[in-house]
Amino acid sequence: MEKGRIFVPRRSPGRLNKRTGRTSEDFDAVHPMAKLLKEAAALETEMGLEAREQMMERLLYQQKRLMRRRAASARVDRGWSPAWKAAALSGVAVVIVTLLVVVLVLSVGGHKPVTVRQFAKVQGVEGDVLVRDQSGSWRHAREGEALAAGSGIKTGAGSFVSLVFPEGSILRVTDDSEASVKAIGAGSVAVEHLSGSTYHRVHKGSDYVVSKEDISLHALGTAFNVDSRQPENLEIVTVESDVNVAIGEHHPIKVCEGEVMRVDMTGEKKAEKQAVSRERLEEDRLKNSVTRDAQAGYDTGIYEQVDVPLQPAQSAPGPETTSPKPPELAIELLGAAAETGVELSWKVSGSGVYASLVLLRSESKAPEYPGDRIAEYIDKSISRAKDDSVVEGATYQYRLVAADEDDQAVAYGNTLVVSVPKANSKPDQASVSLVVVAPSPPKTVDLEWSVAGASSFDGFVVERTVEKAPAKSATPVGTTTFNQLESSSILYSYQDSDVARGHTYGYRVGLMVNGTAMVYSESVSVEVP
Amino acid sequence: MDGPAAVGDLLGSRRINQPEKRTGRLVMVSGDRGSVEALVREAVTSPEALERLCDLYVPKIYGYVLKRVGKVEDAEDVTSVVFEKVLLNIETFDEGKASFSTWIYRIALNCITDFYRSRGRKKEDAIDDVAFHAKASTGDGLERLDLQMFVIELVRQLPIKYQEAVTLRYFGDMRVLEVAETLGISETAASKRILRGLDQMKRMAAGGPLEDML
Repeated sequence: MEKGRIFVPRRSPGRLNKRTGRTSEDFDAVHPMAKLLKEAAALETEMGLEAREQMMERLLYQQKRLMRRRAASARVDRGWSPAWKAAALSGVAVVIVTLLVVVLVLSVGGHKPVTVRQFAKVQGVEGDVLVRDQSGSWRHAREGEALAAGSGIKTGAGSFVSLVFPEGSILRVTDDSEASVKAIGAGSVAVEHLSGSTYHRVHKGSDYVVSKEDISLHALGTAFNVDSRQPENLEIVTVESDVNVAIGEHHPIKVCEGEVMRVDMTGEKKAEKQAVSRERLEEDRLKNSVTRDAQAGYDTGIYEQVDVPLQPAQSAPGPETTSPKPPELAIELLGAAAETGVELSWKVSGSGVYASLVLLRSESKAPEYPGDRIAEYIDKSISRAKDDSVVEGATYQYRLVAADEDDQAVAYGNTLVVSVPKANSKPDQASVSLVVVAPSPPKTVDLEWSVAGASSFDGFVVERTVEKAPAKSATPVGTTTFNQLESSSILYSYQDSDVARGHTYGYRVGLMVNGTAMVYSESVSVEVP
Repeated sequence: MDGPAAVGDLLGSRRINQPEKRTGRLVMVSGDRGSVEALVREAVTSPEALERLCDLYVPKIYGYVLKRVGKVEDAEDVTSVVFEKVLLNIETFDEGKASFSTWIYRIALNCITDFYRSRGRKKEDAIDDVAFHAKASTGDGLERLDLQMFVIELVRQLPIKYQEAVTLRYFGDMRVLEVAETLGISETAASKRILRGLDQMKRMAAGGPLEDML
């Protein structure tokens, strides 16, 4: 292991107890800012009554859900009596023997076992929806038609369709998206997300897998959204329950209800996970899918929790058997970051009447009309524009709105998200930098570390290995200990007071993500003479 | 050891250091420690216990969050998320490892961090809402309030590690030991961060309206 540098800290201007090396608390009496802070702290503030009541309502609702889940788990965990166990085992044995006999008879008789083929049903066709069947050619989808494994489905701008699987799961393919059905079994489904956004409402107990390249999402009764509209990014938002995401050969990472995971699809596929923002939940496309869940009577998970209102019903409530009217105006916005800005183009179709197209732009939330207006086009022949007032490294959301003579919105287009790359930017790699401070005499070892290139993690693990030890030491060479710390602070420290004279220790700190140390710092050695 | 290892795989085969047990437990927010811990245990199933727990901690957490994020609407959202996370994770709370106060403030710190990450931290964000909803605590009315607001804004300009330590100490009314336990660092490190934060605030305040008081 490399030898690290040992830093001796400068004396702080505060009161430092030279005997113990600790700073006392009475800096309040000597530091002028301390008094001012105490006065500022005395500012009385109370949470608004309405906000408090809404919060309590949500908490009490959450409490009831938790109690229901606990009761359900208790029922599952309850053991069987010995008599029931014996009866069940006997029953299973009889069934197995019977099946073996049947298979044997059929084999001897020359009969082939019959495989029941499963199909997904196309429902709720809106707009331009194509299916690719076994022949490999694309054609327009028909309401209610059956699709077998191996089929593909894709939607155009402003279009939407659902696929209902025999075990009860639903795949919702939103506008300008494509997916394929890889396998349909009794109680299992495998789909591939190819582009755009797909929403998955998984029937509880089903074995449902979504894949994209070497990423697979495994759900057992949940609702989640997969989005790959941002170039080279895959986003998974879990609306209800949990999803396990496996990236390559790595151990699966759980994405819980209300969390979003973003995977950088370039290179080694780095992932980060955090709580989903309210703005993301309010995005129209996702809300549209969740609204359909609500209409069908499903739980809406995080939407209920944080009280995000869903859109009014766009089609008749109940099972998805009717197709709503196609929109009178369909606005499709496309764009990408270019060298000197963001280039946009659009297409407007349909018979609706409008006076102008208004271009909206926002950064941290879905664009709103009219507040986020940045341009207006009265000339309907214009179908391209360039936004050169962008900042490198920023992410923008664009949207077009068709407005009438009175500036009232008559139709909304899709929301386009564009990230403007930084010049010569390289993707950040997560790293941990460790500094070891050993005061003299070194009865303790203080570690301080910082993290770069990682935006969400759930703690650290401090690993200490004995590199040199006297003979008959209680901690011989090679003894390794771990100390797990929970925090997501950017700078962290730890004091190891369990050091012994005559030993040399090697330290390194690991960054924990979902219970696994994803990256370690370099190792630093400290000698305790 | 080559490459990162899953800690879970090694827990059964390696000696694990327990966090150092310090003398002097955290000061209770109100009432005695036993009653708060009992409330926490009952809050999973009892609506009354949950309401009582919120009565005890919402004012403190909300006040702390508001001074950190600056806007009432944001503070209400973040406070809600804090208590929702408290309820969702309350069964994992181990009173042997930390007091409830430490635990809930730790959750609040993480929620504030998530808030800044999701919204993008802008130094020019106004904290007018704090002034609008606060009552001046001493003497000179509006002028005093302006100075208090200036101090809060100074704190918000500190680097995160100092801001957390300073705000827990003064807005969370914690002793240094409690700050250390909440941040998961040594008492010495906590002292250093608070002092460095105060020093940096003093430097930032030079030449401003607080000059005469420094």
